Amino acid sequence: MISFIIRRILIMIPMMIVISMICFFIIELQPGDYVSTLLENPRISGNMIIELRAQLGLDKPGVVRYWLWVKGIVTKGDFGYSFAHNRPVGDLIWERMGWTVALALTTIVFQWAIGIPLGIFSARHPYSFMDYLLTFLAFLGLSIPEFFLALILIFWMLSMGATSIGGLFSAQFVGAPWSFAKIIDLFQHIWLPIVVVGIGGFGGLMRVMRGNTLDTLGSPFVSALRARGLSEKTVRKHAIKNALNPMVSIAGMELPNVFSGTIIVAIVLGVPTMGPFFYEALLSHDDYLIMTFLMFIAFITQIGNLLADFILAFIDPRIRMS
Amino acid sequence: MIAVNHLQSYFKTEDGLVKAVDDISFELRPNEVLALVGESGCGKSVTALTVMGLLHRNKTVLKGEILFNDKSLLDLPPEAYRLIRGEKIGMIFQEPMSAFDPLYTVGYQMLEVLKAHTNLSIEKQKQRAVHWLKNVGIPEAEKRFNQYPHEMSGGMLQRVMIAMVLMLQPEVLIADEPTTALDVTIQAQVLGLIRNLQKNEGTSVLFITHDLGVVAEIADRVHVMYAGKIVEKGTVSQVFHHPLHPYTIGLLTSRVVKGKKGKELPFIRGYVPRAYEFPEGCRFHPRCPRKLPRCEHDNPPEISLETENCVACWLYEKGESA
Amino acid sequence: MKDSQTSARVRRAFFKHKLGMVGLVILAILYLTILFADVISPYNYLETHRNFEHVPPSRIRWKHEDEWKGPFVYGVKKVRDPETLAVSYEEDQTKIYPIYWFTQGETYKFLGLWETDFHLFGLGKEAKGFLFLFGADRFGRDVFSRILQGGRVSLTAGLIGTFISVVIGAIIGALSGYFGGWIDTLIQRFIEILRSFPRIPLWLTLALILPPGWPSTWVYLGIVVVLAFIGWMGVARVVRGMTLSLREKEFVIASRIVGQSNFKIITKHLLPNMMTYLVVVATLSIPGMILGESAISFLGLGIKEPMTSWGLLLKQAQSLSEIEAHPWLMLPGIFIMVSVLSFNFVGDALRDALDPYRTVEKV
Repeated sequence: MISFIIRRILIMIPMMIVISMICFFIIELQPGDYVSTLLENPRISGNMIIELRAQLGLDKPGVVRYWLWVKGIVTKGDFGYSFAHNRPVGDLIWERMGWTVALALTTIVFQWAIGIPLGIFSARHPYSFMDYLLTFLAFLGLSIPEFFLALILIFWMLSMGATSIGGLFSAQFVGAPWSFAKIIDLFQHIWLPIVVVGIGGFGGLMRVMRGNTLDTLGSPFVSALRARGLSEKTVRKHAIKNALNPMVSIAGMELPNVFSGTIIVAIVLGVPTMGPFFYEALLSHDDYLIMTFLMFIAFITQIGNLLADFILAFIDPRIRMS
Repeated sequence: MIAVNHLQSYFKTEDGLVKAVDDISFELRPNEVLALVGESGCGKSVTALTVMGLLHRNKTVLKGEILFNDKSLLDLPPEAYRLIRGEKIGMIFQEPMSAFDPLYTVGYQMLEVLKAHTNLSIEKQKQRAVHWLKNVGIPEAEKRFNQYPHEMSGGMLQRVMIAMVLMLQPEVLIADEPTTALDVTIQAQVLGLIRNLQKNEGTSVLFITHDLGVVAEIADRVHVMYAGKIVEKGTVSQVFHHPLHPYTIGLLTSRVVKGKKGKELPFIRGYVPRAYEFPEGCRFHPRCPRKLPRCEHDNPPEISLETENCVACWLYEKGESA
Repeated sequence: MKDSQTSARVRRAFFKHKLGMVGLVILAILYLTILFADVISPYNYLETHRNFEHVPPSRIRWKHEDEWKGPFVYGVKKVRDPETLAVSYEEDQTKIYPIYWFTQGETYKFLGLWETDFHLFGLGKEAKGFLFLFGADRFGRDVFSRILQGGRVSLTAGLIGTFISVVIGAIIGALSGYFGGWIDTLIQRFIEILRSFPRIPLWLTLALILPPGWPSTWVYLGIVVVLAFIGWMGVARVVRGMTLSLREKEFVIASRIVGQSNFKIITKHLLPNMMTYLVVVATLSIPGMILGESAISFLGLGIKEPMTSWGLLLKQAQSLSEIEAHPWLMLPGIFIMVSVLSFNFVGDALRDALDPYRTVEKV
């Protein structure tokens, strides 16, 4: 098992290198750079542009810039400079990473907390009215664009007379120190993005769990367990544990989707995570910010997959021993 | 010990009512090995599952009677049925690998069974389990006790399954093709094991197979099934030396036997009808070389002959003639 | 090798899926509607109407002062609140505009070919009032007409994108599965890396590659390519899996012994066997594409004016104040939802019919 862990970690290194190349290359393909957005400003002359470019190092060819960027990361932990915000990219991302990851994780927990029990329930009462209803709701959740659901919920809250919608805190709590009231306020705000993204995702989870559980309940080993005269409760315990097995890898693969959803919902709701930040950076061609963010998300996903693989090896002896 | 009277197990499917077992009656006597033989799809496995009460209640229609020591099984509430399973009637399956939960050690699963059926302490449970592992001829029993199913070969796992079932010392053992998935040499070992254990414990065995060679080796009496019905009953020596039903005769002559090299291999023309398209009258008549006109519309009843065997065939309407 | 019993069974399974049938009907209606979008909309979707910005949806009335008059709308008066200076609209019951069927209206080019002014219904050319079924937007453009027009983009981008991604994915997947070895490992690793990027940020970043100067039709094609860029990976994975299992089957080995070229084996033997599964995969991918296009356009990085899509239309409803003041701007979202839902139902029905053993999922 130790060798398994080490091997996986070692593979991540070349993967991250390729990821960094992809991130850089995609931005390179974009026409123009940060300085070109300034071109629209009539007060900035052509010469100033050239000077600015040289100053920011944007006049060097792509390969050189890539090399400098990677070198900076590996040697100094310097992820580049944000032109729009005039600060190192690393700091900016670091400040917002906490909320971004917290939101994503909470959303995953929410999806699982709803999806798995409902999936098991559906499998135990297949083709019942509740089963059809849940399936329909799952489809509905899958089909609503997350940003649209956010809009609808905003509309609903407005019509109910809510005042502070969006963001993480009401105006008065934004800079304030932590207090009990602030925590309550947080919950009053954070449920919105979690629910919006959660509803979109729980459907798929629920249906897969339902399918897995149905398959397991119909499989020969469940019949064999019953033949031994074990109680239904015990049989169920075995069935569910086996059905959950493949879900662990699925959770790992779902990670990028959750990030995707939280980003766009964060943009709509103005939640101060990386989402709106990334969006602004895109619009203003704040290249290093964009690249680093993409790279970071890909990295977190890799870590997530790694963790999922470890958990799987932990619970499934067949994998542990191969 | 087990008396089955006019048992019918029908499955409700989208294609209609599938009459997997259609009015069969037989007895399993104390301290004997009764073989139920037939090709795949004839209903022998369904018979076993029906006796064990493992069929899905909502998807099946059961008629007739199953008496276990003069107690009707089909009238039993689920909880009472569960207590009989394993404790009084045990079952071993064809695929040992799919009769165990891959996520738990075999030892854990054996203890689980003991916990459900006995009041022994954990140490005593472990003692009994290991004792039986040794009984079935597993070397290094304590080590194997802590292993996972996938760490063992098919043959060894089959022995574990036998140990797990017999350690509760049931009165009846139902063996559903336990050697079909094993190599021939292992097959011989497992058969020998079952035969010895049967003699030592006095268990009655209902042995289900499609392999006539196995029947000859292990059984005292044999019943031949075809298309959901029993077509011939008798002792092994009677049925093998003087087969009565044309199907039985066909089965016996179509075996690959020493000494017939170079001759064409006889076979029964036609194929086994699918369970929702059984022909009218005698189910075998489309393939029968000795068909009478009556066979096409009347299903022959069981006709008992003086020598204690029975056959369901119009050829014997007036006693043994052939 | 389909015998009549199999295709009958497939058809039976498909039509038995009630939701799938509902979805099919809805999609048929939607696609017919967008085909005749210009005819069905009462107005030209690009036409602005000054003095009618942000008009709420017109109420169709049948009785005026207890007198039956047939369907009509009242005129609308702009009212400015003296204190807040906010603009709102009030019904002007003095002006009555009956609704006619098969009437003349603003001109347009039917299917881009010939110019006409025939509309399915409307107020007629002379009417000074407006029939805004779904209200008007910031420029006084009829939202209903724009939604119908936007449907053309939203409902076709997904189809074309899926087609492209299926083609690319099938080729790459087949190559990967058939040749195995380092080609396979390379492609698989590459796919794994690409899949660790969350889709929407990746799409947004790719969408920015399209030069800002491009005309809107080119942008449309570019967006389609961007969508396909991520969609092919799912197809490739499925095709690879199936190729791997088919590769070892006897008929393939037989073809190799006979000396058929690899290309022929792949195209004549492997791919046709996967057709039904490819259809299932394709249909299941379409919802993702439609949602993707909406998201990209919603954030302003997708479809460009004068073209419009449902996502782009929703962009106008992005701020809290807009939602509060002009909620009808959110209506395009319902269309996205309904069409995606319908595709999901149809996809599910197709999957039950063509792939009951869930081969696609296992791969």
